[in-house]
Amino acid sequence: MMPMTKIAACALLTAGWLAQGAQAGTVQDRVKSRGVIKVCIWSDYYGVTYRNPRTQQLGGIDIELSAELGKDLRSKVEYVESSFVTLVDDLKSERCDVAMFAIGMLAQRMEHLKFTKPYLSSDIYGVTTKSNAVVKQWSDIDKPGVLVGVQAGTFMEPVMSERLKQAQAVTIKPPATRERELESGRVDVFMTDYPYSRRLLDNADWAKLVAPPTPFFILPYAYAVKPGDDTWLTTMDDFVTRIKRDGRLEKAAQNNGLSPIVVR
Amino acid sequence: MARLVSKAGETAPPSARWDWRSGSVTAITLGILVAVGILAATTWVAFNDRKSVIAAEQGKAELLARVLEEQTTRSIETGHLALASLSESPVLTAAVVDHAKADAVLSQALLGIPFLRSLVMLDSHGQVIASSMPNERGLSIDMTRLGPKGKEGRGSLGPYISGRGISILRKDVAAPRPLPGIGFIPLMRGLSNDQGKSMTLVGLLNPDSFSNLQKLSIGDAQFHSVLMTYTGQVIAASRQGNEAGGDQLTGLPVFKDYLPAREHASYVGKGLDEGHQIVAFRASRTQPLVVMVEESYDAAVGRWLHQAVGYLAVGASAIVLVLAFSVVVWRSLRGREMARRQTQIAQRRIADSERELAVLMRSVQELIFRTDAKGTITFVNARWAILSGTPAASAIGKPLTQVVEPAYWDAVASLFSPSAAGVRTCQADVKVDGARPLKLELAVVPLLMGGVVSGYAGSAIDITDKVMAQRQLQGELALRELLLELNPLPISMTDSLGKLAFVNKAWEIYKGRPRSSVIGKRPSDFLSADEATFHTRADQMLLSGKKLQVSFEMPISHSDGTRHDTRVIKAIVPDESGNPSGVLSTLMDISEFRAAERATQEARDVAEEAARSKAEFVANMSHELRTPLQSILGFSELGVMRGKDTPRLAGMFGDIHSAGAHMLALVNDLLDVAKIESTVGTFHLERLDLRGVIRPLARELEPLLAKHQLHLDVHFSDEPLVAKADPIRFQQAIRNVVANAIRFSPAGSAIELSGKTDNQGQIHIVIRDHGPGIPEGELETIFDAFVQSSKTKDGSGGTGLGLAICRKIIEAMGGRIYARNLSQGGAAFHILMPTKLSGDTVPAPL
Repeated sequence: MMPMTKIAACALLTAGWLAQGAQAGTVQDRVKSRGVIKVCIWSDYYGVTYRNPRTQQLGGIDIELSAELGKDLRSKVEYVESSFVTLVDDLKSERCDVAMFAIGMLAQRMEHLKFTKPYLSSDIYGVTTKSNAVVKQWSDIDKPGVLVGVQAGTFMEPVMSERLKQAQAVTIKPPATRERELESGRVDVFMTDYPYSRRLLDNADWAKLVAPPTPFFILPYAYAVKPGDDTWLTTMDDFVTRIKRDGRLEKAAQNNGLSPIVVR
Repeated sequence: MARLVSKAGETAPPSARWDWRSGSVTAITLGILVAVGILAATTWVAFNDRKSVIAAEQGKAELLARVLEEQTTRSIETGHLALASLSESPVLTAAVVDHAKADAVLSQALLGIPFLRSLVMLDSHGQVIASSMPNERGLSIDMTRLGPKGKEGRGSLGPYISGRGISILRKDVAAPRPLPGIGFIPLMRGLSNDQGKSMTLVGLLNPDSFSNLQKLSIGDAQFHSVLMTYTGQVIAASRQGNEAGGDQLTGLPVFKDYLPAREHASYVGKGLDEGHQIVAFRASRTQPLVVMVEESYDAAVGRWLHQAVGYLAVGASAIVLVLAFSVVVWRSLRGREMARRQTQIAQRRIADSERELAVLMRSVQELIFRTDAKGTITFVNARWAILSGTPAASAIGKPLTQVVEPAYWDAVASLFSPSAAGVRTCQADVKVDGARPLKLELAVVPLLMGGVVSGYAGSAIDITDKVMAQRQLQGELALRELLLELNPLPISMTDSLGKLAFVNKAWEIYKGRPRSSVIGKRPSDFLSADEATFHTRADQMLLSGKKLQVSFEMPISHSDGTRHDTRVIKAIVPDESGNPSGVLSTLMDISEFRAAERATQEARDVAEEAARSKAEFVANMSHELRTPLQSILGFSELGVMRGKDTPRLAGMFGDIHSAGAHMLALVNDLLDVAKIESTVGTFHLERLDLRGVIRPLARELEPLLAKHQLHLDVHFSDEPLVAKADPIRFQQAIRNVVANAIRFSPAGSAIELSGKTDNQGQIHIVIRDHGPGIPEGELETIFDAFVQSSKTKDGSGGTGLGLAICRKIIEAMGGRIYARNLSQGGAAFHILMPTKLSGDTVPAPL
């Protein structure tokens, strides 16, 4: 709990400090002038920004909230494919005006980006197979010989590398996927956050969620914008404040099964 | 009433009866049959349902086994295909392998085969040439543990090996201990490189992916499955904990009973778990693998039961409902039947009662009638016809007054007087045609309806006989009174209080008192004290019930002032209930009788004295005569003896002696007669057996018999002839009779003496001779003194007193003697003596 609090506090302080030197008005003006707001999403983020492979329809809490943002700003929303790996570049290169896919407020990211107030927060969860002989509960994870998979670029990678004492963290990079590695037995368990775990619980009946008995590492999620545009950041902050207040956040979270992790 | 009770007893209570034809029994029987039918149907359905559930579960297990076998086979075949593709890769078959490229090729290949953990290429020595895990490159492993390698160009499947990767098989250093549950199955394919060197491609199959596959296929069903090699080694199982990779399960029926003959089957029997299991298995069509699926038989039955609870409950409810409905219907019908039965019984009883009442009415010997308020007959019973000789219907409508004689009209009319209350009675004569008039006693009771007399119920009793009997009784009483009154014996009667209630005319004369002065008084009031005391004591003794009649004699004062010997006879007079109500006393004056009695006694005493004097005289005379006779006899005998020389003188002396002897015998006999008749000859009676008295006598007479050439035959019965007799006198009597017989028997004949007890209990002694017999007219007189039979008085030598003495002796001892002539000649003398049995006792009642 203590490390999580420290990291979060550092991230917030760093973000505040960087924001003071930013230039004002650019993004907002562009949005207004274009009448289009470009939103970076990661379309594999189940429950947040997820493209249904069968219908190719986008869905998730941030798809709903970005639509609300568009309504607030009277602009059309245009989605831009991104990922956690390309996020910083995509914002800085202005491929998108805002990244809305539950971005963990990691210190490394806060060095490069500005974050609104957090609207979600998630702990870390383990996922393994139902028939797994090695990992059956949380305490089985940090044991000698156990291989723990973490997605490259996610906040789990540094956190788990630091936390695991006996087990070995295995970074999984594309094209390899965490599920494939788990299925083939190259890892015994992989770590993920709450939204991703929902997907497994909803659809992957082979998978088993291993939840920590006590909070392990809770990370706040927020929207990210490029640094140096306080107006735009304020606009996004106001939006977050508004959706928290008028219940749209709550409703969208409820629609996507994320009510337990809403930051009120 | 007894008949009614008896009938009631014969009628069983309705509840105790069980009529099989009754509706209630039919209803309950039908209900039970329907309930049994439902039970049978439910059981049949449940049985079939259970059977089909087990069959369905078996079908499901077969389906799962087929699906799992198909999936597994395809996965393995996909692995083989991937290895086949790789074996064609020029990077891998190059003479000099570019390790980095080879590793990349292997890693790339893994992306499409999710169930393969890693891919390794080995040379013929087991050295790792390339691997999807680059850190394994260069390791040297023990290839024998991978199992038999397939020929080049063909794939093979190895055994389950514990460990995560191929490094577990390295030869140079001891491999770290593998994590429990982590293992692989080597999938191998031989190839040769461009230089013709033999190489082996090994794919490490991840058992967990097969476990996951099985788990997914089975889902939430109650089944569990296991993937095994053809030799029974566990590769993967759908559940954890029970079957671990590498376990050997060759003991299962799958391997013992089915494989290899049958490649797929299902059965209920032994499985992985204890108890009965539903098992289905299927061998892979191309790989040496077997998939087995099983489910607990008990759990399947439990699920069936859970499913069947619904219709079982419905069935049970239906049974309960049918039974409850049947019971309700049964109770209802039974209640109705009982009510109907009770009604029938009640009606039958009423009918019986009415019938009995009618019979009773017919049998009543009294006339019963009913009239209206005015006395007109509205009903009569059958007795009317007997009394009047006319049918009962003819009496209806007649006024009752017209039925009786005119003299009684008023009396009968008064019965129907409105003012009279309660039962009204009167007597009246009824004239019956051709018969004597009947005297009836009529009684009527008003019948009230709403307080008003609506009619009368009455009865008439024929008292004609009663009246006649009363009259007869009165006549008899008058006669009795007259008889008592005219009776010459003084008669009186005292009541239970000892007061005089009645005296007759004779009594008044005897006592010299008119009845008016003594009726109602006690004897002590008018009799002398001693006489009154006698009467009072006797009366009290009778009234106390000790005796019914007493009689006594006492001197009673007569009206003339003298006292007469009087016999008083008192008898109790019972009342109707048999209790003493009074004492009837009869006085009989016996004073004259007593006087005559005294005169007779005196005359007898005089006669007895005279007889005694005569006997004493005879005895004395006889005694006196014998003294001179002794001298005559003695001297005559002397004269005979001395006169032998002078026959004439001797003959004279002989005559004197014989006459003297005869005279002595006569005197002796006379003396005997006198002794017997006088008190001088007293008898000494004693109990004795007469046989013992007679036998010595027979011996004593033998010389006399011999002298006359006679023979005495003595015959006695075996029983003793006990009598009370004087032995000397008895011998004398027998001696006289036998001497008499000797005297008259012809020489050479026999005299028979017999003795026995006859059928009357008397001792009967008979002495028979063969003499001339006795004339019929003299059979009695020969026993008189000085009488001899006319046939024998020709000088036979008797005194004429012998038989008289015999009779006197025998009669003095209570016996009897008589004579009878015998048909064949001769006479028989019969002596009868009363028997004296031992002790001379009177037979005591038993």
